[in-house]
Amino acid sequence: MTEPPFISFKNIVKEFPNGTRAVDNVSLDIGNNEFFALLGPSGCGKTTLLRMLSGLEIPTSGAIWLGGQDITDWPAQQRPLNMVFQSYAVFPHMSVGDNVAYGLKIEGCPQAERKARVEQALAQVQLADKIDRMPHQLSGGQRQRVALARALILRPKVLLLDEPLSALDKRLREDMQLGLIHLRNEVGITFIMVTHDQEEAMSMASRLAVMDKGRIAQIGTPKQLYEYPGSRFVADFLGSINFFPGKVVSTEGKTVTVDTDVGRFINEADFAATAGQSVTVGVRPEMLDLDDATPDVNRLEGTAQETAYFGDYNLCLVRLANGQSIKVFVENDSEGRARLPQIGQAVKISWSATCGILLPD
Amino acid sequence: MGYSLWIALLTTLICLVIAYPVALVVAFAAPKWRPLLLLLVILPFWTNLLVRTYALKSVLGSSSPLSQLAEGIYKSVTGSETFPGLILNDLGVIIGLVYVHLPFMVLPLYTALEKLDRSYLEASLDLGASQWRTFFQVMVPLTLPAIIAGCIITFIPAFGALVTPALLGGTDSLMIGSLIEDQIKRANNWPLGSALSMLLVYATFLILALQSWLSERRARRTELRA
Ligand SMILES: Nc1ncnc2c1ncn2[C@@H]1O[C@H](COP(=O)(O)OP(=O)(O)OP(=O)(O)O)[C@@H](O)[C@H]1O
Ligand SMILES: [Mg+2]
Repeated sequence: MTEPPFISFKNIVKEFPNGTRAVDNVSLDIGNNEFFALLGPSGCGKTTLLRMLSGLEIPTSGAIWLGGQDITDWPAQQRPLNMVFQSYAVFPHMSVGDNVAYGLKIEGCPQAERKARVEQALAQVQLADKIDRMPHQLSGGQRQRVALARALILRPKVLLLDEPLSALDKRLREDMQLGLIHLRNEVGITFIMVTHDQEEAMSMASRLAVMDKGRIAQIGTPKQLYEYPGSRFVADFLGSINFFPGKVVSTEGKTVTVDTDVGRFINEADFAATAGQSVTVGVRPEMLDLDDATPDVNRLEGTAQETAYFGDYNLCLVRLANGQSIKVFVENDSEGRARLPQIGQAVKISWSATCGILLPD
Repeated sequence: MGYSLWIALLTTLICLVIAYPVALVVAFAAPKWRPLLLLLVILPFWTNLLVRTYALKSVLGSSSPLSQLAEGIYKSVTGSETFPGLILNDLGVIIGLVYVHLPFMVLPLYTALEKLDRSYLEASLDLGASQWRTFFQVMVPLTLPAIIAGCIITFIPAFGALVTPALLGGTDSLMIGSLIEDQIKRANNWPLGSALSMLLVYATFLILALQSWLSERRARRTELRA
């Protein structure tokens, strides 16, 4: 018999009084010590799902289990999980130290122990010297770390993070991403993070769920989701991708031949494709080769329409004969720089059968 | 003067205790009900104060059902034979003043509660605090400026009230407003009336100065912590 999952959402539905169905029949298991990310476009129900786990929102139907217990009806105060809010919600009328001590005071932790634990928690987030500051004297990143310390000091079984990094600038964000990963390894508890930044989710989480309109589109490791997306939505949401809709002409084992508007492509499929079936061929921009001397099986021709410089790579937009624009990444190494076309120049694009993603419609 | 102060303070306190839950209900009601509830709070403003006070007089008068109900309860609880009545005494003055000034307290509290970021309350609950603790340690401190503002704009007019104590008070319920009126109109003692009026003005200034001093001190204290 397998051990029951640590956290389990069972057929959760949440409908708000105004009729919005924010979460629509979600079932999801999360293991102990996972770093799990909930990813999806704005308004897809990520926050609502997280709030139901924390007890701040009650599901319309369905059950939530934690560590083998049904906690669906438990009030927020009793749940052994703590949340870091999107707005941080650091109490503005209390000093940093009082903010962090808030939960411990409620637990009735004796003064001496409380002081030691507050100091330790603040040291953990590198804020030991700010204990007497008021929140309005802190930067956004520091306030976020206060919220983190305030939640972690209670030694919750699960830490919930609602877009913890969205308000920070890019540099600080990267620092905090590493900081969070480090912290999680140190405290060894389950982290569940909500984000709409796909790069952040992929770089930090051990597993993630992509949500779409209140439902779960796909669950898996970042690699699984990026390389083997199950739908156009997931493929499009995680990274950039070019789509060519078409029909299956023939199959030979895993190798499938597809006819599209812009040509005939050969691709490997990880599902059983049948001749005549409508499918979409997806190719990520980094899988495309520009003007390769020994081109792969799949080829396209077009004119370079625009290029954009991103430092470590260039984006080249190529316009095909039928008007579709294709994104191609050209690495900014010595070879790539030489290959980067002038605007208006005719270019050849190619990719191999194993590099594309075949998606059933 | 002392009497006025005492009555006004009591009025303010009772207003606060009643107004906070009212403001809470309005601020946390579903958005579609809020305008209606708010309208109910400010509706009395549309009627002249004198008319409202007379209405209150007949609602609370000794022959009114409300007064008779209160009399029954009073007599059975205290066992006493005489019931002082709801009006024409200090109680009448306080009931009247609370009734008239309640909206002044509700409105600033409502505004503050409506603006209050709910995530502070949720964070408190999430950290294990009970509803009561969240109320006293998070909600009240965060709405303190509104509480102070509400108290001041309730206290100042209650302190100088004239119509309400004159109509609902007893013969000995002489608040400073009535005293001034007496001196000027009946005793024809303008100097004393003017002096008393200035007293009222000074008292008002004093309260406002106290408030600004308090809020400045608060601001300075938070700075000093840096
Ligand atoms: N209290 C509420 N009452 C009514 N509708 C709500 C409420 N809270 C959220 N919704 C709706 O539910 C849907 C999901 O909201 P939710 O906050 O979970 O989205 P999200 O995925 O967290 O989005 P974002 O990335 O923008 O934070 C949205 O359509 C939102 O408008
Ligand atoms: Mg959200």
